[in-house]
Amino acid sequence: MKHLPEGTLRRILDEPDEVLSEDREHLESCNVCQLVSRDVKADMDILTEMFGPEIDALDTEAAWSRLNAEAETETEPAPEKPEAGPQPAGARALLAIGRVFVGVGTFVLLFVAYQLLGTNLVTNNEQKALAAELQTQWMSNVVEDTPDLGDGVGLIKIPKIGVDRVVVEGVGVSDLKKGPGHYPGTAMPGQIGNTVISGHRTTYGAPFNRLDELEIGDEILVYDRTGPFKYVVTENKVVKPSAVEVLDPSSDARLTLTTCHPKFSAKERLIIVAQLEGTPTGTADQPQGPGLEILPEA
Amino acid sequence: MRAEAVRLQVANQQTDLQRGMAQDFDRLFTDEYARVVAIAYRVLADRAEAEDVAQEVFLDFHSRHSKSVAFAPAWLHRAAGNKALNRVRSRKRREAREAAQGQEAQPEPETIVEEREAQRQLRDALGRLPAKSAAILALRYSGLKYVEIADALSVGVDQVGTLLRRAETLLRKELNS
Repeated sequence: MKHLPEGTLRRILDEPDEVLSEDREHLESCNVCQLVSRDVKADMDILTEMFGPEIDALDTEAAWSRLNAEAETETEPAPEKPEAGPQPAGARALLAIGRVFVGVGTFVLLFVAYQLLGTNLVTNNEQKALAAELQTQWMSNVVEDTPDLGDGVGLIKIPKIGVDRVVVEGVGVSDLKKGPGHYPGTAMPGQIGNTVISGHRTTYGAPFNRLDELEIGDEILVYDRTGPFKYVVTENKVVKPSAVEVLDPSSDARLTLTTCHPKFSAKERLIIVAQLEGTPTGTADQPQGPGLEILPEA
Repeated sequence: MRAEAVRLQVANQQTDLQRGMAQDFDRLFTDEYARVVAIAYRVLADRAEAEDVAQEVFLDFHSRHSKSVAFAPAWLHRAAGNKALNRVRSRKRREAREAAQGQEAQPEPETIVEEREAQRQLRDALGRLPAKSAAILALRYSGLKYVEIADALSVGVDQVGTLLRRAETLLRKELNS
């Protein structure tokens, strides 16, 4: 099937129910459309933030009176324009103070918005670049065997906690700045074996910030060149950093997510295990896993 | 005598009709005022100015179209976007003129100056976009549904997504340049 036009991807973001169900299903299962959809959403999010909050409560009745007053002065022979009614000095002062408050308030809001926007931009830009590379790769016929460290390998989406990120190869400090990282040497998504992905709990876009909210039965979607894979959470646990057995190869097709625990600390690790739904694409060729002594910080 | 009665009756009917129209207009105003202001506010980022635009829009509508309330919302939405965009453009021209004459813009409290800068960039960029692109952004980002946008801009609802996406790409480019 042809890929969805960007206009359709755009509408799915705003009004998913107004779009043909076959289009929604196509997006669900199409790795390329997922990537394009992320771009579309990124633009939308940035503009939403720049446009700022919508205007708040209006006094419609006052506006109605004003309109009627204006309509009358328009139809009647215009009387000498009365100078702006004598306003008590107290009211004027109040008005001025009010304006200053509104001004300061708006400024503070904008400043906070800038902070959020500005700091996320670094990771955002990396993510954008990775997604663009993936898009080119997936749409070309050249198949690369193993991804280089720091390259994008696919997308991870966890609808329940709003995760939608490009996964990079590698779990080094510089890799994880770009996005959640796939442990080199562990199975690739969709394969029989243990696919391990690690991500920051806080900072650098904090992709796995809300991982603790996942419960058994929740869905995790992974898209890579070979297709979409749906995993279902089967386990949610906290372990010591020395519990490297969570990285061990497995005989089932499983996905393991790791991040730091508790938030803002590296004392423990939070582990989510999920099982592939559907047929695996093959078997991972890693006999003994990555062979680490400690689970890296994330 | 008879003629007098008929004339009276006609006059009564007319006032009834007028009253009915006034009621329709009242309802239209109540239903749409907030959205018209919201659209203008998206473009102007200034509450008082947005409310001024809304007043103008409703006055215009009233003097031209009070009979047909069916297409009224679409008309109001489009007019709100257009009027607000015109203001942004003429504001820009006025500033350019004042700058050319070496006049200082109105002195403003310091806190507001920086806020204005970011906001101004967005509004200026909006003013440089093709009219339809700018309008669709104002309409969508003030919360209108795709069907309503289609009505306001007289395009097919299937085109709205494409036009919106194109407008967003243009605006992002304009902001980066």
